[in-house]
Amino acid sequence: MSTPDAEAAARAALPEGTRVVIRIEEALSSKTAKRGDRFPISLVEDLSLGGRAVVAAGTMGVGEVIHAAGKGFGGRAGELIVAARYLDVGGRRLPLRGFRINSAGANNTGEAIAASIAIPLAGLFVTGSSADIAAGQIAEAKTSQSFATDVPSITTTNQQGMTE
Amino acid sequence: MTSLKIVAASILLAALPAAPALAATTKGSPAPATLPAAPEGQGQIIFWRSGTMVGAAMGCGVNIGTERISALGAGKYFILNLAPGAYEFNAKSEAKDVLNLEVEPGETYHVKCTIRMGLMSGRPNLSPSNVAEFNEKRDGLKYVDSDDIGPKVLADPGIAAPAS
Repeated sequence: MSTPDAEAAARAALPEGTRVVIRIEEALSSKTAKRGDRFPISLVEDLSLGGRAVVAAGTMGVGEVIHAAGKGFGGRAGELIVAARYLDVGGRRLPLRGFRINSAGANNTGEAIAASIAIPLAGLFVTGSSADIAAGQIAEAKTSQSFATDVPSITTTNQQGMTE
Repeated sequence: MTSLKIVAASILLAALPAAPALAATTKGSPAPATLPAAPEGQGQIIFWRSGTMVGAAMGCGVNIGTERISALGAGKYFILNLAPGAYEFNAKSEAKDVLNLEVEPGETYHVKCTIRMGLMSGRPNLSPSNVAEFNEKRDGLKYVDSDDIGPKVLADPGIAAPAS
């Protein structure tokens, strides 16, 4: 009788660092986003092992806002840093890392300085633009740990009859 | 005779360096073609500031919480290798600007500092950048001077290490 550990070991694992293509499913803006906000993401391309899809495209997951700062006076542009946290694979979490869409709006510092030369302090009232990430934007991430799948491990038999 | 000795001693003292215990400041060197990677298990952040005239006389002090890491003059950069985790960087003048980052092993991040208009003085702003933006400016950047290399900051990669 096989133990759960032996069964898990008998299944092929998606290796750590597997490339994952992700889509942002909800528009994000530095105007409204706050650090810690969560948003939906989805898998764009199947994750495959030995030519067989083990995590299907369309699998949903969760992303998180790491940093958000609104645009401001003096030409300050909005800032937004987000990360992909995990994909929900049949109730199990496939953790992700290495996903970053750093978005900074256009910085109008130069214009602000020019305005302040023309009219003292006017530069304080020139603002940069917000940082926005559109719904549907594609980015890449990596799996952050090995992930056991439902696919049986591929074993081969050598000429001496030993499995390897 | 005694007064002659006092005069001679005074001349000798005047000829000595004012502060022999302090090492002379070494100017930073231009960015080499290849920057050193972070050690195994750590992430790397490259902080940079372009050499524009805006706020050129003002330093951009970079801190983690209350700990001073380094200060970026105009046209300078420095490299920080850190253990994985969440960090709150800030730059302060009349206002405090905060940038939250999550450092992951084997990843490289870029952060730029710009100086914005303020009421009494310029306001440093730390914002997310990327490798393309850094590479566009890197030919004009030099490493921070030796007196701005804090204990956590990597030594100037443009200076060859002495042969051991």
